[in-house]
Amino acid sequence: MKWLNGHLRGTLTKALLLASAFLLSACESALIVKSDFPKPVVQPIDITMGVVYTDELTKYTYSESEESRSKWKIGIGEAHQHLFEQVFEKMFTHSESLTSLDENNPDYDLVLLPSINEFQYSSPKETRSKIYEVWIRYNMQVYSGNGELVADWIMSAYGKTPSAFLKSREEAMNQAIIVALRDLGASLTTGFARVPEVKSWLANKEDIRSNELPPNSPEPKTDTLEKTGI
Amino acid sequence: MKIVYLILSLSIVFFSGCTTLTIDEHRANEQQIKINKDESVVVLGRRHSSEYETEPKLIECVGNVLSRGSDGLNVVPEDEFLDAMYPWFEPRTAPLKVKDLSRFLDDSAIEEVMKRLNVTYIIWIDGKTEVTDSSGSIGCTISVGAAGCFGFGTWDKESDYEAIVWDYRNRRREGQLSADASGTSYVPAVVIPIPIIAQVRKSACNGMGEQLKGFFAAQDSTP
Repeated sequence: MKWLNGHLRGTLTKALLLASAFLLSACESALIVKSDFPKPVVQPIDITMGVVYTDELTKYTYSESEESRSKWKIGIGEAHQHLFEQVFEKMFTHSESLTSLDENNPDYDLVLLPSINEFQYSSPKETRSKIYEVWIRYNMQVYSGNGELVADWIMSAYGKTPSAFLKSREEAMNQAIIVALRDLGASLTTGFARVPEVKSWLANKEDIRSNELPPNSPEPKTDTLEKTGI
Repeated sequence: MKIVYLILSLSIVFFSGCTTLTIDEHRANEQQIKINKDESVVVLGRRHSSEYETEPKLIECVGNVLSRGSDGLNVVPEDEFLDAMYPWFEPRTAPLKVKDLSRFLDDSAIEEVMKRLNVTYIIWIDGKTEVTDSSGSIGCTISVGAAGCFGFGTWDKESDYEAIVWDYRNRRREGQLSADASGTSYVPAVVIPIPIIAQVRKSACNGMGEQLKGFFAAQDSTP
């Protein structure tokens, strides 16, 4: 009987330990967002663009600090760099990656410094809709080749899980973030040339180009902005 | 006796709940739309509402219904089309009216992609399937050497979808239809829960797919 009690107690302890380990792991979720993004179909803007990928951007990780929520750790930096590379390759005639913002970059017409300001999400428990929703806010800064700030604006991206029947919550969150990143790429592609300061800078550049042309040369193409900025 | 129970149980498993489906359609022309066998259509889900999302599975299902059989159409998968046309058919950028297509389809780069895909008609589907009511309860017990459930659960599901056919080349709306489906699912549980599920979304998908197929008449390519 003593042996039975001891054996039962041991089994019970193991079961409790396993159950608590399972419950703890259920509350912690680690995710590194990975996906392939398509290249946009767009008429490229005829400039050389340098894009600064700082460590803050490429290593951006969201860690949930609220006690009442699941302990998410979400790495979204790498996915952002991948998206930007895909989008900017087609958006501009030339684009190159930079690791820091130098004061003087004469090789580039413009230099873009993207950064993530804020990441927010809502979980199925909060919305009762079986899907995750994600909001990301960005700060975009554009500098001229000689280091002057040309434009500084805020952008936002939104995404939600496309299906309520995904296998795991990591997969559901991953899908919501991918939708948000695609939304960011769409906003950049269709909206970059419409940012007033950028629009005016591009118009100036076009004027300078046409004035530099010799008198008998063909008319420069002026519809690039119209086609890009829908 | 055990065999009778087994047969009874299996026959209940193979039952599915009843679904009612209503489809209304409106066409711009009485005649069918003639589509060459080498031309394609694409079925896209509307995703601009924050309240709901047209399910990708439903879109895939309608595409499968349209493409099956000897009179099936060439259907470009939604994902492939969205990637190829990125970012012009994303939730925030997709055209809401057929005339909005001219905003960007006159662009040579976009036109080239459409030519490559050979898409002549775009079918938009907007709507959702949701649980509208549920009641009952089932309790399950597990003890040493025995386990079982007892109770009764039921829920109602409703599908409400609208499909619109756009003629991409002529920037014209060719027709539209709406599909409303509803059904009740049951789960009686006496030791084992036996789900009798009403396939509401599947019913809406099959109904819409077949009806949309009737819009088109596939013909051999004209020289």
